[in-house]
Amino acid sequence: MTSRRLRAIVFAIALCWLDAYVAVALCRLSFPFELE
Amino acid sequence: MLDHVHRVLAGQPIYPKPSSDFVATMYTPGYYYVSAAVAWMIGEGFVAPRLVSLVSSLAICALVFHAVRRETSDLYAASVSAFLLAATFRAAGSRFDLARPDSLCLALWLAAAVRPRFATRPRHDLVAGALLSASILTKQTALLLALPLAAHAIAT
Repeated sequence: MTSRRLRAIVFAIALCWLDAYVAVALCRLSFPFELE
Repeated sequence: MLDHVHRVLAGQPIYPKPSSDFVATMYTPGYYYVSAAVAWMIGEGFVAPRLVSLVSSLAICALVFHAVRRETSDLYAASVSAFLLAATFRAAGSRFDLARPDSLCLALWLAAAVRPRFATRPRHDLVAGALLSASILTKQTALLLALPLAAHAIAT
């Protein structure tokens, strides 16, 4: 696997983590009970 | 937290004498006022303080991106650093977006820490001092984090 391809895969996976966090946070934003 | 925000909006004191109705949490008031400002615009409830935390946590990612990019001039390293921070969400107890002052405090502190690192003018240090004060006013534990920054400012 080329270094360029490996970097692209790592970037994509890391970007997915950010996407997942924002998605979870947006879903939890208006939960009508305390998460705290 | 919601009670604190409500009291700010109602013009009541945040730290009254403890009673069976209300006992103030042991935090400095910055987060309550910021959340109250957002709640004033979009209405009271869980959304306003959680929105403050969500935006703050994204600001933390942006600050990490900014710091790594300035240090390494590597867009890839900066992006992955910021994204990996988001990956710690679960490991950090899923607390980034809670209606609690932690994310706002850390965002302000990190902004204060990153600012002098790349400061070119005295007013940058003034901005860093103001951000550091704001982070301490958001959560008092930032005072401990301020010590190494103060030592760095004195030494350089």
